[in-house]
Amino acid sequence: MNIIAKHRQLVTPGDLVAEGKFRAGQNVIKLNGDRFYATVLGSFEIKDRDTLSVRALRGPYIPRRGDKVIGKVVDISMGSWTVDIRAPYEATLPAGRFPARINPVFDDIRKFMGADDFVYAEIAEFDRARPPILDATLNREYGLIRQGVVIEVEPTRVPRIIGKKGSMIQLLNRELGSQITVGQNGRVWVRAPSPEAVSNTVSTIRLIEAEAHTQGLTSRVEERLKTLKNASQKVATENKE
Amino acid sequence: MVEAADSGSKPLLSPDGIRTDGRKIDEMRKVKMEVGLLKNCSGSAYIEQGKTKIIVAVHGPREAHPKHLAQPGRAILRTRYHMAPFSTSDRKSPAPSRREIEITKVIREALEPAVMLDEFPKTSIDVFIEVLQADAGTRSAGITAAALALAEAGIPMRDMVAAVAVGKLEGRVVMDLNEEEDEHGQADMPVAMMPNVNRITLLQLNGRLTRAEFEEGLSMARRGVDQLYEMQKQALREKYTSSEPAQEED
Amino acid sequence: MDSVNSISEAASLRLRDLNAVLATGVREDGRKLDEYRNIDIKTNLYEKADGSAMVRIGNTVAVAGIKIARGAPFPDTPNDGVLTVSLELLPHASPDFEPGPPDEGAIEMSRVVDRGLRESKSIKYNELCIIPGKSVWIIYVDVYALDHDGNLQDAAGLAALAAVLTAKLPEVKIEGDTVTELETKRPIPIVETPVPVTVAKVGDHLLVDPSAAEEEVSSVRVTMTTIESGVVASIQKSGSDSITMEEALKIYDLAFARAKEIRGKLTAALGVSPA
Repeated sequence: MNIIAKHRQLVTPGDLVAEGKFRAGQNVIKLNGDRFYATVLGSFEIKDRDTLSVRALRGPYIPRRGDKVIGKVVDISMGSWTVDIRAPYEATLPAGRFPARINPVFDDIRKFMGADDFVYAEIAEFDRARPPILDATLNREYGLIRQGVVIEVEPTRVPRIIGKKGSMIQLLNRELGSQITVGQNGRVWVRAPSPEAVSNTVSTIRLIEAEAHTQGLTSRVEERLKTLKNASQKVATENKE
Repeated sequence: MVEAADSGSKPLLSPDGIRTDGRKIDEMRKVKMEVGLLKNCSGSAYIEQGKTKIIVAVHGPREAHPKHLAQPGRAILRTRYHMAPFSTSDRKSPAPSRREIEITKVIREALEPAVMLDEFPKTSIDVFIEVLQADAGTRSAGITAAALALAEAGIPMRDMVAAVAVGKLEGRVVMDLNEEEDEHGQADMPVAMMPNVNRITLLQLNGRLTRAEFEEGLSMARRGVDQLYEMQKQALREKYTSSEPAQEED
Repeated sequence: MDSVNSISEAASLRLRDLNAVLATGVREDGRKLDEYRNIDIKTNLYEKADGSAMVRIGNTVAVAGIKIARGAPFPDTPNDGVLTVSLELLPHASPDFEPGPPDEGAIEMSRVVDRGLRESKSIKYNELCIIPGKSVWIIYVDVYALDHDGNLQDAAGLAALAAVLTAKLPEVKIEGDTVTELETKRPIPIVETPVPVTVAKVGDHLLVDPSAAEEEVSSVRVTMTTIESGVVASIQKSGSDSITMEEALKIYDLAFARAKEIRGKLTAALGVSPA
């Protein structure tokens, strides 16, 4: 039993991380007998004493059932929309899973959502054998995005933007009066009471994305928010929708 | 592509084993690598090896188009090795030559053993290798940079891949030919390897080698691959060390 | 490696069974692992060609024809003749071959034949010069794959080699810039016989001269062209898998040993050997 890489160490594909009796978790493979290698660029982790894994720093969004995502309509066919969710696979949103009464025979579904529109929805089905199916009826907040801005961030940074139990978003919402919805697929939907607040929110999210994996991020974000607040006290303290 | 006309007559290796550019027999040219320099792709890398300059972009995994190319159980890896018209002394026609088509194939086959294609069924991973300046060793430098760009794209790999050409000058096996040596030398053998699993993924030879020279060439290539692999890791670390996760993360 | 990227799922099931069979040292067609199939070589088949050969390796057939013409040398080699190889996988050879521009596999195969023959420097190109800088002999080698039962690479290479060894070019009379071709002919100045031998890796085994069935489940092939003196003159690894250094050296030894035997057959069949 010999662990070669340190916990949280940056590893690259092919790095030998450990030798001996371990279990290969995410992004780790066992080769050449009992030797464990990293398969992606990321940070090495040991969990449950013997499970080796690497948390990827980069890479595509891989859909999972139940993920909340923000998709972009790229194509429209008879009874469904084809939606880009920044995954290797384009998703399908059937008309019947859109929160409106649609008769697929008589209605032109373009009236409800057209090309380049953003939609907030949930991954209802996905098994890599067929394209992911979206559902926008499972929750009241799902549906066509009609206001605010949508920005894209590195999908691997999403957990940091959300923060522990949503703490980072809550902080931003509270301090900037904004309303932020983060899709697991690295799209963030921002609404705020003023254009200035929108821009402050977006730039703060960018800061979190850029420094997502550094120490003391929360306090730096708090500091930044304080500066922004002082600069335009009015905006920050105004109405919270 | 042709160097000064008299270069064939002067020796490519001095009696004490120094090459025309001052390098020793087993010395690689100066190598520079950088990752993540392009925004609009999944991964990117740039390499300079001597005067050879190559930029690589990776797109994907993404839906395979046209759809009939998609494989049910795995991703397809597509490569394109291409030389810019301004990359050579005489303008190179932009249309892909037979040479480029062959190199495209052998590069793809040098990367395929490493890339874990079964992770992304029905998708394609596209690797575009553009030679901006050619000064020998473009296929090997292209492979080294392509592996780097794939790693930067976050695509799972069993191992990295790095490649170098070894050759023969005045009867001696040498590391990493430059253009003059490639033109007038006695052999050119590009070798790609996966450094940790210690396997050859590309092997070609132009020119003549005895069995002993062949064996020496392979172990010299192995040493070159080790050096390049360290630089690959360094390039990735340089770009991403600042983003090493902090303890406070969940 | 724990997985092979390049072969289909059905093929990988077959590979498992085949691997077990190969462990006994005998192949599906009864050959030993390092055994070449029967080779049959016929030359001078087409009167209008300056040289031609048909090579049969088991059921695999390739034919090569040579046309020789006078032309301008390349500017960087003004005193050297030129040899160019092209190869076509005729639809005759396999239901998988389509007419039309060659795909990357055909281009690779053609370039490997070309390199084996041309880059081995076995041909004395300076003896193909007529008037330095102005006129040289250009040797066109056109290879057709006629029947594909595996290892077209070697069949094509051997056909090209046999055709070059038996081709004739006219003697010339030079007066100033005027070149007159005479009735008398001479052979192409080739001083060695660069013989290609392909070894395929199937499962854990190295198989010399793979059949079509073996190629289908092989993930990597290596072609090495060797010369009498024991020198390798060209190498090509093809296919989506890797090999070890030990395997590379073993392939060298296999290629050299088989090439020696093939060279003997070639000399016997042709009744000529390199000058």
